[in-house]
Amino acid sequence: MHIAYTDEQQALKTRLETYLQSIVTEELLNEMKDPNLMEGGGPVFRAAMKKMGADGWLGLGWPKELGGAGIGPVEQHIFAETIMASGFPYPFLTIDTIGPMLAQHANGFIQETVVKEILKGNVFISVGYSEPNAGTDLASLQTRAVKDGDDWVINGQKIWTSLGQFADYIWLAARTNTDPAIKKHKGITMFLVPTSSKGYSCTPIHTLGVRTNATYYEDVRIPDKYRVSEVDAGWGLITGQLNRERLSIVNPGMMGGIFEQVCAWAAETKDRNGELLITQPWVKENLARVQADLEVLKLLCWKQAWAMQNGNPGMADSSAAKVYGSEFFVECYRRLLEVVGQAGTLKRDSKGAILRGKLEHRYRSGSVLTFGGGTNEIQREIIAGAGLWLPRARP
Amino acid sequence: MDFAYPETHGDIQNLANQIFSDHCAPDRLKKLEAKGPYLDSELWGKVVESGLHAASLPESAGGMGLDFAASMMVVEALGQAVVNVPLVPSIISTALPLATLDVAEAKKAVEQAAAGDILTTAHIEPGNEDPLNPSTTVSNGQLNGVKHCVPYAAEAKWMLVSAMSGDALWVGLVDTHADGVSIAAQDATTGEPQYEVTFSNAKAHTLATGKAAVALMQKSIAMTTAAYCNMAVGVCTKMTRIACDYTSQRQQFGVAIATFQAVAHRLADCFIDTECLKIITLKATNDISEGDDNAASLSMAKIWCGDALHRISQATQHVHGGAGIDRDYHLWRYCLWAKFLELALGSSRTHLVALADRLQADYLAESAR
Ligand SMILES: Cc1cc2nc3c(=O)[nH]c(=O)nc-3n(C[C@H](O)[C@H](O)[C@H](O)COP(=O)(O)OP(=O)(O)OC[C@H]3O[C@@H](n4cnc5c(N)ncnc54)[C@H](O)[C@@H]3O)c2cc1C
Repeated sequence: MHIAYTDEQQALKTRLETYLQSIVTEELLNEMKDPNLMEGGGPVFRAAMKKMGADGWLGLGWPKELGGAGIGPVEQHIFAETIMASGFPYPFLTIDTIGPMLAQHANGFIQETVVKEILKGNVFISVGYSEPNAGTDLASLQTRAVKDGDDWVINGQKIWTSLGQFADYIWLAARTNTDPAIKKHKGITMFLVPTSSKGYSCTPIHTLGVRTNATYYEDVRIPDKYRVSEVDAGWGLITGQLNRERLSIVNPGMMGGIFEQVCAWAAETKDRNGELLITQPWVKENLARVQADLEVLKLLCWKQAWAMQNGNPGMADSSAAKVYGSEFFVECYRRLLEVVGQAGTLKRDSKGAILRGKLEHRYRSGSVLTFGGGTNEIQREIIAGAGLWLPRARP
Repeated sequence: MDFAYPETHGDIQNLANQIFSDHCAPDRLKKLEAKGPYLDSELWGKVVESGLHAASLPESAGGMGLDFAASMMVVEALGQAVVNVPLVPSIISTALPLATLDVAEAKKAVEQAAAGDILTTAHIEPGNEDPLNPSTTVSNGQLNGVKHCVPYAAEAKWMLVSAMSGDALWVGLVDTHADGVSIAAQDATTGEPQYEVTFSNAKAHTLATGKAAVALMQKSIAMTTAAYCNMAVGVCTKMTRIACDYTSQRQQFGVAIATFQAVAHRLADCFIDTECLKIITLKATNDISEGDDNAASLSMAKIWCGDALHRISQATQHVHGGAGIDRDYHLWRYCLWAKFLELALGSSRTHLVALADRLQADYLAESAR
């Protein structure tokens, strides 16, 4: 037992932090001011991804057989935590969730044309699950894929397809079996849809915090080699991807180092009486509460990463981390904003903005996490069943 | 980074769970409790026979010589049983810190503790719960002052005590039967024997003065606090388990009440709280095992300890309805211990303040650089 980074892990983190200074440049931050490019997709972002791919940083923890560096999930977690904290719009859906799923399950064609390109930083993929009438009850999705010779023809609409504005592919869940006699999650197949396909289109949805998209599929024709799962057997890939996403979205790095920045700010900012803010009891107690709760989140995530290396993380444990982490973020932004005060609501480029208005943006985007990636109610159901063995109301 | 315990620790945990669960049947406890606060000498005898109590004591003193984390496995198991044995006061608060000293009296006391004799530590005083800042005084080897809530003081052979010697902290050992030591029973919520101890020119063996005394008492506080957190993990796990079993059986409206989402989700929150407490407690335990008696993780763990105990105790009582608080049922004992563990050696609030002061100091030092 040793619950801290090893010397090698600490060295990796330090090396990465130094490296990232050359990645998170003013030029990149300027590019990200465009709401459409805030989460990546611009030329500076793409160049940075290519550079990280060439320098061997992507897929650090992916197994060697799959083209990664094979140094393990703990190191992959350290990478994700550090790069998220750096402020880089890390495409974790591609690198940490869909990528490894493809590397594990996809055919040779996809391995060559997609997986290898992911590791080079060239390819980005969006998740196409949610539909206007299929949210939490995802298995009721209606988008259809019908076999036509050697091709599949896809028709339907997805909603909330994040990053769809620059994705190269959609990791798409479509219904391939409408037999009312089978359970609805047994009739779904997973595909990769190239966004260059005829009949694909994307329109923006602007949310409180980020841009996302509605994506449309009108007689989109793709060859069978873009099918990722066995026909009608896509559900396992969906849950596999979601298990990974759950951990990514509560990665403590998500806070973007904002906790340390607010502490440092409070240690150098004086009130009207010339007292440093951090010396005020309520200020430091707010900060200490965030620190204690953040430490717990860090440890829960470390343990999950470690468990991946040593077998399998328990289902209830990753749901617990997801619920805890997402609710912590919401609480934490509130406490940090209390410290910064009303000026914390000034936006990034406003006169008088504090810490580049980061908190103003964070509180707006934080609320997605409690229902995104599998809503917390469903996570609590999973905990009740898989963690506490309670009887279930629904089959 | 490694979350795995050595195999020995797993064996210790299993054996501890076995011994404690064999002795916590409600009927048995009820008999013991009938006459007020009790010491379960029969069970303590079995624990001592198994050697589990001395898991972390040095082999030279008759222990197993394992790390601090090993004894915390036993303490967690005790939390699942809540039976009155002096494991924490005698071994964790007292013998373990004493075992780090090269002093004849301390060595003798540790050997006695390993053999099953009881030691205790007087941490707090009426109106003052800071063991590093006692009102009790010592001069010329004579103690004067009052300690209280001292567990097993009347049953113990030796008591570890802190006092002020002029401006310096002093820590020493007191023979509980010595002249000038008077012991009066108190009646604590847990039903554990606790006493007020008054010193009037009581003779004491000096163990340390000044910095060394602070380090010694700090060790006792750190280890005891970690023990309370580990015991809380056991208590929280058990309270949640009891509530899950009950709500899976109990029917209303023709179905098990656990199938109501409002009930199941409240229990899922208990699971999450327990996981959070467990992981931060593990970190604190690990830090102490690695020699750090003053880690921030310990305050963080005690903050979580108080919060998790409070929330889980209330939630598990609530989902039972009336049955949960019936003294013929077995949840109530855990709820009483929950309140004790929440408050002993500092509440969530006290530890938040301590953590806040540390954070302020760290960031001011950083910005001065
Ligand atoms: C910014 C943003 C980005 C997103 N990105 C993507 C993406 O990239 N790809 C993608 O596929 N989707 C994405 N989503 C969709 C997201 O996963 C869904 O919003 C989520 O699954 C919830 O579905 P819903 O919005 O339809 O809400 P609903 O399913 O209608 O749920 C509404 C409320 O009802 C509750 N509820 C529903 N069912 C139950 C139940 N059985 N028990 C108790 N409570 C219940 C929910 O917990 C929730 O609080 C994104 C959403 C947003 C806002």
